[in-house]
Amino acid sequence: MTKKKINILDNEFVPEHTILTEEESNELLQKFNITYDKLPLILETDPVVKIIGAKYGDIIKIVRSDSPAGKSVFYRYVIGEDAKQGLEEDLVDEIVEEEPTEE
Amino acid sequence: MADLTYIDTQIEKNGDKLTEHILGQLKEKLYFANEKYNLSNDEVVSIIEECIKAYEKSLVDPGEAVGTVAAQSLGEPGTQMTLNTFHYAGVADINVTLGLPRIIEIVDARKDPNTPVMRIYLDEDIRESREKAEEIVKEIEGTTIESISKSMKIDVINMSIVVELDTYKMQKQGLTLDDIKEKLYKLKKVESIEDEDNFLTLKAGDVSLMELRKFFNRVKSHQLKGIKNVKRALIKKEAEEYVIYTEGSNLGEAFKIPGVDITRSISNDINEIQRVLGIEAARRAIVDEIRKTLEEQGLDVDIRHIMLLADLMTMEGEIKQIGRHGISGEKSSILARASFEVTTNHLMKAAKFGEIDSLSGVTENVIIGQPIPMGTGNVKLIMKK
Amino acid sequence: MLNYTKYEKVRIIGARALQISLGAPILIETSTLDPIRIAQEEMKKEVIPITVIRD
Repeated sequence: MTKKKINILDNEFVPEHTILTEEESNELLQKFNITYDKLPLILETDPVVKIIGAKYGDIIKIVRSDSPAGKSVFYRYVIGEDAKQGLEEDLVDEIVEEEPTEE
Repeated sequence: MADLTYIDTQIEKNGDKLTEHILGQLKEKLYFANEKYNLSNDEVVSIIEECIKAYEKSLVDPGEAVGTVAAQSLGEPGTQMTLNTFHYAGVADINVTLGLPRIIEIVDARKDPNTPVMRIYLDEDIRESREKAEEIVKEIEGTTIESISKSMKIDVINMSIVVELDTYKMQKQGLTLDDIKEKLYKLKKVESIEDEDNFLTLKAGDVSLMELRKFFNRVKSHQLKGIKNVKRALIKKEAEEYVIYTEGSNLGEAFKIPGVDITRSISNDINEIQRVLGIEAARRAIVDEIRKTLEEQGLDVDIRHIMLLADLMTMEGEIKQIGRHGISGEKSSILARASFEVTTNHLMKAAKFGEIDSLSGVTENVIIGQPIPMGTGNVKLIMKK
Repeated sequence: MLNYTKYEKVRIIGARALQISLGAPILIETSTLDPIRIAQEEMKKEVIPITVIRD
């Protein structure tokens, strides 16, 4: 049997992802008057990010089509997996596990 | 009668005030109305203006407590949902968690959902053929040695395992004796396999009875065929095509099978979708799953509330649960965290490290009895000079 | 005029109505006596000397 080509970008659950150029990124940040760290994140290890070849620090434009307003545009900032982990360790340290009491 | 190019230029002029989708609809309707009512140029302009006004009115004002409204809108119908875990939805024989337990499962972002189910569509050319669907089911469905044998027992005297194979079931699964033997040799500890008629005798070398028992259990559940984690697969006819439903989910492997339509096949395991299809697909899956669960219970919740929830859960690039280990546990305010769960832990830790609460959130200000930074509470007034 | 949100409008009207109820001179011709109504009318005519800070 021939090997099947798998392109997850074809799945209807995966919206269109495009990498913004540096110019477009600056324009976007200026338009909303924000810095990049205010954007929602997407991991570098995300399967879609791997396929489109985005790197740490890129901004990805996502055009969703499941919204009631037709198409809606969303942006995500690409972040590395290790940066993420460091962040989590800081937050998690020392919180002792204890079952919550129902109130 | 207004010129069509005039309508186009007017719409283009206001292009940045409306969304693409609305602009398209507006253009279409203006063309239609122009034909029917002979609109004048002024009328076209005022229709567009009126449309922009209505659109701006429908937008949410800054300061609106959208999160609270979403929480209430999802919470209230939650009180009317069934507490039953299981239901037979769509397909007979496949159990699907529904109602409140399912909603909790999604919101908690459980790593191992109770009833993972895949819905697999077939490629266009084989969509309407039952035989092809059955072939794919055979590839998907997991087959263990136990499921194709009449009996399995431990022979204590010879310290071996005796398996009586069911030839009919073997044929149905398309397995030959050699296939089975080959697969079984991959198991650890198998020293020799002898076959006589339909009896297989497995020897495990020099082992104790206890170890033989353990070995027996491993042999029993050893997968001969199919996708890992998928226990069963069923075919159902939907409209003109055959769709395969599976109990257990493994989307990555299912995509590899020839004949499976990658564009439409999907799982209900949200963490798996994140792994295989990415965070955006997971967000879509959260929205879809919650909406379907509510719809199935006859409840109608505006999709925007659910979308807000899904956006919040996928904000960090991976799925975060709404709870102690996710969203609520990561708030920057000590008081806000302490007011949720494990109060003493948070207060003790904050005291130990001398943390400072800047009182910038809602919960903190409710606790100390100040106006909250939402709506009118977030407006700062100044006298004009 | 700034495009005020509904919350900003409410706060401005509220603050102005308080001033009027405490005896501040009103800035428009009106027959109503209710300070809130007066503040609303002033808001409509954009004569209230109050604005918002946005940061």
